[in-house]
Formats: sequence, C-alpha cells, structure tokens
Amino acid sequence: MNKNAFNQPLDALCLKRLAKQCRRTQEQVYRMFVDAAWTLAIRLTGCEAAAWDAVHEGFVRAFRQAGQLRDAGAFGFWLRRIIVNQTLDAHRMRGRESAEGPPEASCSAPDPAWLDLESELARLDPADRMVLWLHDAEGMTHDEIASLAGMTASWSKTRLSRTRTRVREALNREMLDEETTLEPRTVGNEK
Amino acid sequence: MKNDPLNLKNLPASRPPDDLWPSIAAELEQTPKRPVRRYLLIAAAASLVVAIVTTMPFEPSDRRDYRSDYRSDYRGDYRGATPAAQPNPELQQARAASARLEQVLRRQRDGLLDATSVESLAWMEQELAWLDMQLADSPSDTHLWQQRANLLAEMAGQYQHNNWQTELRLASY
Repeated sequence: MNKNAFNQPLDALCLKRLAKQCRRTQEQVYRMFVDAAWTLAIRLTGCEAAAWDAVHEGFVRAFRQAGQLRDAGAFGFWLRRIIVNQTLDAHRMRGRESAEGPPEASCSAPDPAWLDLESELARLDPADRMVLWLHDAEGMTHDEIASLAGMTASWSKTRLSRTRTRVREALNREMLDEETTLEPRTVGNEK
Repeated sequence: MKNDPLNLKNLPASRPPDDLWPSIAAELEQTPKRPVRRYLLIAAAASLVVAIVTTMPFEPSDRRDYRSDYRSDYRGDYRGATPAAQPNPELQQARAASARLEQVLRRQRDGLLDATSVESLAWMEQELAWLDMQLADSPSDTHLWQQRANLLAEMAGQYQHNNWQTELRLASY
C-alpha cells in the first residue's frame, strides 16, 4: 500500500482535534496526505500553479469543515473529493475565461524521463485526463467519477476507453518514430 | 500492464512545494475561532441541561404500568387479552435490552460532557420522552420497545464516546 495514498485512516480523536481547529493536528494530517494530494492535483491540472490552488483550497476547506465529517477513516477520500472538485471548478472557470480573454500561459515542463506519457497527458482534454487519472491511477470506479463530474457512469466508461486508445496510439506512434530515426544510425555504425 | 506504455502508476511522484503548508496555515489563521466567552456560556448552559436531565426522575411515571401490564400479559388479564395469549419473545427481548441499557446509562450520566454532545443528547432525551409517551398508550408494542432500546444504545454510545478522559486528552492539545 502506498503510504502517501488517500486511504490512510485517521482515528476518531484526530478528527475531533481537527474539528476543534488544532493547528498541530492539521499540520500532521497535511503531512500525511500532501504527497497524494499534490500528485493528484498536478496530474489533473497539468500545471503547478493550478495544482497549488487546488491543494491549498482543498486542505483549507477540509480543515474548516472537518466538524461535518462523521467517519474519521474516510478523511482521505473526502479530501480527494474536495481536491477533484476544486480542479473541476478551476477548469470550468478557465474555460469561461479563455472564451473571453487571451489563453493562459503554459505550465511547467514535464519530467524529461517521462516526457512522452506526460506530454500526452498534458495534451488531453481536462475531462479525459481526469477520467483516465482517477480510474487508472487513483482506482476510482466509474460511478464515483460520474458522481464527481455530474455525469453518468457510461459517460465515464466511454471517455476512458476513448482516451486510453488515443494515448496508447500516440505513444506507440512516437516509439515507432524513434525506432525509425535510430535505425539508419545503428546500421551506419555497424558498417 | 507491465509493458503497457500507459502505466500511470509508474509516473514519478511530484513533490509539493515547501511553502505550501505555511500558506495554508496562514489562511487557516484567518478562520475566526469561537470566542472563549461564548464557549463558556454554551458550556454553562449545557451543564444546566445535564443537571436538569440527570435530576429528573428518569423512569417515566407510567413505567410501573408497563411492568404491571407486562406481568399481566402472562396472567392473560391485560386489556382484554385472551388467557391463552403467549408472551412475545421479541417484546421480551426489547424490554430486557431497554432495562439493561438504562442501568448502563444511569452510571454514564455522572460523567462530564462537552457542549456539542450535550446538544445531541438533549435531543435524544426528548426523543426518549416521546417514545415513553407512545409506550404509555401501547405498552406491548414491540416496535416501540425496539426503538427505545436502539435509542438507549445510541445514547450509551454517545456517553461512552464523550467520556471525561477523552475531553481531558483533548484539553491537552
């Protein structure tokens, strides 16, 4: 089990302290979940600035509303839901802004070692990227994703299937291109 | 999925910026905490409610009637019941559970409570009073007795959950 995942449970006393706005407990809980939260936000947004906003606002909301949560064990999943909602809201807002004004500046460059997959992910439509990441990396079900996006489970299934095919095809194409550009050089070296 | 180029779980984890927590903490600092005076007022009001609730005779005035009715069930002379009427085992069970939980609650009521627990327990006490009123009219209603036992169990759980030790530990933070 990934120790930074959202499925790490809190105990009831910890949730009570969160409800009482205990800053020390908040920091401990932040340290428990921040890696998972950051990875989720950066993958969903593809942008460090947007991920910052989502994680920042996600933790602030989760801590302020901790008193409303009944099940301490579900805190991580609750936080994940808040962060996904934050990113969805940000996408919608950016969609409206880009329709009105100039396009936003591009975000930070992906890790070169994973350039192909990361750049393919970055190229995806935000909704496709969200479905792909939440299902394949976070392990969420189609029903959960649909409920977050306010859509149906079949919408999620269709998006996932289409996105997987598209990304796989793009990655395979890139691999083939690399092989064909490398091949003559190898032959030349042998000679 | 080992050779699948679309293996998202293998993507490198991204480290969050170091200044993220200070920024969140600063935002949380702006959350107005409950003023102490208001908290004390609530606590005082809550203590008063507890004092009233615990000094009130807990058994409903017509409790003796239930029990005599219950006994009379066996005698077969309860409200026109036929002499051959058999005791309902579910009813017996619910009544026994109810009595057992009352004993537990009697001990638990001496503990300290926080204000939020008092509020929910006050609601439960009201619901209990309402159920007792219903039982006064229908003392052999198994469903009502089961509801009563469930409610008492919930109250016992609430008292247990908010015992003074928990509060003391919380106060240390």
